[in-house]
Amino acid sequence: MPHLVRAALRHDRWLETEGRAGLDLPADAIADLRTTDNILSVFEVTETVSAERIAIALAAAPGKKEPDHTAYAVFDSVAVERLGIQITKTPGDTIDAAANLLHYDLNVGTAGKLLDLAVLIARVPIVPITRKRVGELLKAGFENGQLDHTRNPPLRDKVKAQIPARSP
Amino acid sequence: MTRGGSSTALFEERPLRRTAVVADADTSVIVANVGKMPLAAQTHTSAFAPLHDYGAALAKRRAAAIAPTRTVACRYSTDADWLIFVSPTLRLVTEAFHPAVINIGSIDGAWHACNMTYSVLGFDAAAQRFSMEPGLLNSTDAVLGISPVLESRLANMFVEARHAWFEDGIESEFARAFSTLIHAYGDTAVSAAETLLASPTNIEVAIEAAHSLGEIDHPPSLRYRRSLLERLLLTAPSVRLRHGAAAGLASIDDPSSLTVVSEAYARESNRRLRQYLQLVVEQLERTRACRTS
Repeated sequence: MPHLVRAALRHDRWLETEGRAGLDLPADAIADLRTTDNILSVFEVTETVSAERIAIALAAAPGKKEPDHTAYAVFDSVAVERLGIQITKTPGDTIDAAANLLHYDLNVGTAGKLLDLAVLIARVPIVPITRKRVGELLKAGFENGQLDHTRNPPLRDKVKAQIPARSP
Repeated sequence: MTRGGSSTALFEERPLRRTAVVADADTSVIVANVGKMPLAAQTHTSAFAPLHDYGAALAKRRAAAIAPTRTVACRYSTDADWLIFVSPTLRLVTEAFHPAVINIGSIDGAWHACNMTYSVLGFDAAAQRFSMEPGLLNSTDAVLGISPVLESRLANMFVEARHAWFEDGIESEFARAFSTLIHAYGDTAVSAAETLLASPTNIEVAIEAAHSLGEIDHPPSLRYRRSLLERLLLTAPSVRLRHGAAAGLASIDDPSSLTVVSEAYARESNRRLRQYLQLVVEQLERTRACRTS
């Protein structure tokens, strides 16, 4: 598990983070790393499931009705462990079944470790995807079956995905 | 109004805001961003089609409008450089409004969205007032006081949204309300947003507004929204707002923004924003290639 991806970032929040120490990071960037029960959700990047695919899986989350610009960051899992952050494999809940198998919880625990993690993310490229490209990738994902179109029909229809009829 | 030739003598610089351009005339209407005028260091000559549209509208009303004492003055102004052009007074005859070749001068060498102010003069109190043509002269414009009301309403929306959590892919309440305003008031609402975006108090809300300006499906205001985003991209002091403007332009996906986005890319010092602008340039180039093939 050498590489993890944190997706659903807002690219603009990370524009002014490069080279900054934790306490000097813009607060809005930290807001992009919202934790639940002190846990941050990430995915493993593999040869078959790219970081971009995971970003699209999150962009297709039920409740999202429009394709929208997004961004993601890929970082080293070993560096995360060095920060003393525990990595635990848990099932994901996206509409991409393959991505769900690659889901991990980062048990961040404290605000200090969250800042350390933010600094780690600020050091790597934050990869943006334009709204139009997200729309194209969502359409492709619904059509090739990577995304379960039954779990987000409004978005499927919005991107005009043509779902092949099932063979008998 | 001068035909042919070139002269900048007709131009005067005045520190006036758009809403201050309204003249002390019987009727005065501002048409926001009717088009882009070529403004360059030297004087340009340009045919200004909307003037023809206006002339056609006037022609329909000629019976009521024509009178030796009734006149129309046209003013062209931009907020960006305070350039104001006041045409000589025009008589209310059809010929005066044929597509006119007018000389437009400039100060800073850029293209600017311009506003036109029409002042219809010379009506006495008993005369029938000049009627505005739907779709050409917006009855919700500054002359009726709607623009300040919209600015105030939008300002409240900006304040109310300052604690909102904006999430990609989910339409925020702010975006929904902003879209409603633009559908209801068109360019006048965009103009109100322009004023607020000039000095935003909350950058997250301003970015959300910039995104919305690119995403709203309202063709009549598209040109103004695009030119506003282009201006923000080139002039906004906040790197995040420039990013928001670029994202809005990417959503509009109009290759005519390529020049501006490329210029912004060349000027930009923030590395991450440059990367994003490169992405937008590539997208617009692909769109242009698709449309020309």
